[in-house]
Amino acid sequence: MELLLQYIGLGVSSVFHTAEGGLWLMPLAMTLVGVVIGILIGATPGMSGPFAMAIALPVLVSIFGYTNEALYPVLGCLVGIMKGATVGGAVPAILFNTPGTPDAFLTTLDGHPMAQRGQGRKAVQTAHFASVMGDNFSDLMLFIAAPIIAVAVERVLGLPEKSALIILSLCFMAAVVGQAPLKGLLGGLLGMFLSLIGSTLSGNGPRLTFDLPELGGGLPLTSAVLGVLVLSEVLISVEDMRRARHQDAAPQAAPEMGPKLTWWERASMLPAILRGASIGTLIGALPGIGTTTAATLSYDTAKRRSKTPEDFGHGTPDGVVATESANSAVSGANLIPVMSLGIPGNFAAVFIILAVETVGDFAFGPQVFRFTPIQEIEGFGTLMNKDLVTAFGIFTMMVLANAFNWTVGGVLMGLLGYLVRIPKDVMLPVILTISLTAAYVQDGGYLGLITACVFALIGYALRRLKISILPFVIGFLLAPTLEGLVRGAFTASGGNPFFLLTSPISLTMLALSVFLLVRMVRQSRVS
Amino acid sequence: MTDASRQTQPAPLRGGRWNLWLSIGVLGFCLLCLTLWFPHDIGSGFLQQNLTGRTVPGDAFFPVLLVGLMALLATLLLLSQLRHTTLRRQASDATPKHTSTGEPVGHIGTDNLAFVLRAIVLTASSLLIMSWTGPALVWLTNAIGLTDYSGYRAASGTFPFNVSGFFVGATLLTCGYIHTTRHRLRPLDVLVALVAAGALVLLFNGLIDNVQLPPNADL
Repeated sequence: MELLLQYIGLGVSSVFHTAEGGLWLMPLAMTLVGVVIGILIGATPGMSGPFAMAIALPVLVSIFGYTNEALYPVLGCLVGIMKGATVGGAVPAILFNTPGTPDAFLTTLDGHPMAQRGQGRKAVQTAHFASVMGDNFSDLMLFIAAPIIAVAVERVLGLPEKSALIILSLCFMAAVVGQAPLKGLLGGLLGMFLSLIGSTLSGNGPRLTFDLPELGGGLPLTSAVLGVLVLSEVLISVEDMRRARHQDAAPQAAPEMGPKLTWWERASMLPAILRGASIGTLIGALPGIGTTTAATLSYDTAKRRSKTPEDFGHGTPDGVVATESANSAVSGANLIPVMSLGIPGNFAAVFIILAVETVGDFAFGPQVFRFTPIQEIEGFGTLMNKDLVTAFGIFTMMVLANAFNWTVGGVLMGLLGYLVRIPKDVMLPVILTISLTAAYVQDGGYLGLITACVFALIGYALRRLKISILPFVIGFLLAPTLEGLVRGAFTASGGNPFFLLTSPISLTMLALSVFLLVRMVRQSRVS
Repeated sequence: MTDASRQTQPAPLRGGRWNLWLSIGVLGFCLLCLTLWFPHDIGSGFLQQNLTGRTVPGDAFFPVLLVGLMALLATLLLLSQLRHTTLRRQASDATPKHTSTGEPVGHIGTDNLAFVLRAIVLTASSLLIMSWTGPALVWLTNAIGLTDYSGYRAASGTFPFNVSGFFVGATLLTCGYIHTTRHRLRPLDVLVALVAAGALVLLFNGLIDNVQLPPNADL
């Protein structure tokens, strides 16, 4: 326990101090900047947290560089954006029936009728209260669960089991994301394949490069993800708007805001918030299942348990509480598989992992939570697990982001109505230009830019063919880890061709993967 | 076939056809990888001997496993679709309303390809203008005697030559896509594009050191 408290203390301290011990408030400032950006982005229709994180990452890396000192400011800003966006999306959903983010769609069902009845302020404050409470709850679960899972994984799982776990995660993701799981899994394998370009693990020179020296260092990671996630989405939206000859209708005037939410009303919401946050946390901890599922499940549960289910959909605060507490709770819980296993479960987590892989030498995974005794050795300095200190530093920044969401978020949410007037058909081209510039700047030239464009076309094709992008991106990110694990497991087994089937745990995980695969095939037959 | 009978036929198997084409395409890609690409572009084989004589995976080990899995999944998709198509044909004779087409899939039509082509041309031409504007400005100022640079490379660290290409190219790119979405371009849209390009110049060239805007990192 004492060791745990020591590491927590070092983690908190590391956020506010430089390696030399001087006071350093940049991570705090960048977390605040991130929260503000996130809330603004969340309140802008057509934008989402991951969208903003994708564009912010290259800009942040350009500003702060690649050193270990850059990690906290970069991660602080990204975590702030992720959390701020979950709060901001509710404002246009409530006031204008236009969800700022896809997660906020269900909030329109009850939030907007409340606003139409002259209870706009109450609806916005309900959304803010439920959202931030839900987020806080899931962060608490993250702080408890991630170390426990990581320690268990590190003790129980060896190389074959870890390989099987990644395979199972990818199969699970393909099975639950999108309507075409077989093709989703194929997309995941394609993502893995593309990430091998330019790499080598046996010292025989870069592979799969078509003898192009530019590809010898591999494909630029951030540009590739920026292309497949952001640029492809922009292309799809631009095409849809062009085809629809879309003209943004003039937004309606903001409705009468009405009275404030009382403290008694806030207190009476707590049981419903706890229920919604629990559902969001459970759903969020599973890779691939998004906020919409959590919000839908929470809304249905709240409606079934309500004494007045007929009020749902007609402007009851219980509906806003159910959706907002659940969809915000997903964001913290999504980091449970990231921090404990190094496996991202959604797009926001992808950018947190990308930032960690790009900046400094910290890496997520079960090894982070080794509680190595802290020892002072003369002449060598302090011996400890610095990754664990960094992990507690990241937790600290999440707590800071929550504090900013409580305070700044509450103030900002009342002022965000005008953002709905930003026309999407002007904003998306600007985002495209910013994204291409960011790809060029961060990845050192046209290689980054061309990679982003090529991956944008891949993403465009996948989206048009209704194949989920998430397995592709996760496959692209996890391939180097999986290859290292598979090669290690094969070598350790002495060249046994059944090296993944020798342990009961990996056998069970692979059997589950096969079960999911069979389910996918059956699903394709009955669809 | 009468019009009435045509109307009772199930919808064309457009979605299903895409499943077939995708699976056949993936199988072809796998074959190409295993027979041509991997042998020519991977330095070590599936397995190799290390210095101690132990058998360890080569660089082709993981790619071959991946491609094998892709081929397996593509075969499953193909068989599933073929089976579905057969069942559907049989069912359509008995119950013409049966319109299921296997695993859901979208499609990419000629209009999508035309849009993508337009986007490629628009992006490529903006990038070309981005690359040429700086050198053209240097040539112009040299020609009228304002500067005496040996070329753009010599001027690429000096304002405004270092940002001129990016400013013009980024503005054109933004304007081009705004025109694509709105079917028109208002003066306000051009102003937005100019401000966005200006803000990016200010951020990346003014506030951040050690980064280069396009095309300066590729001179």
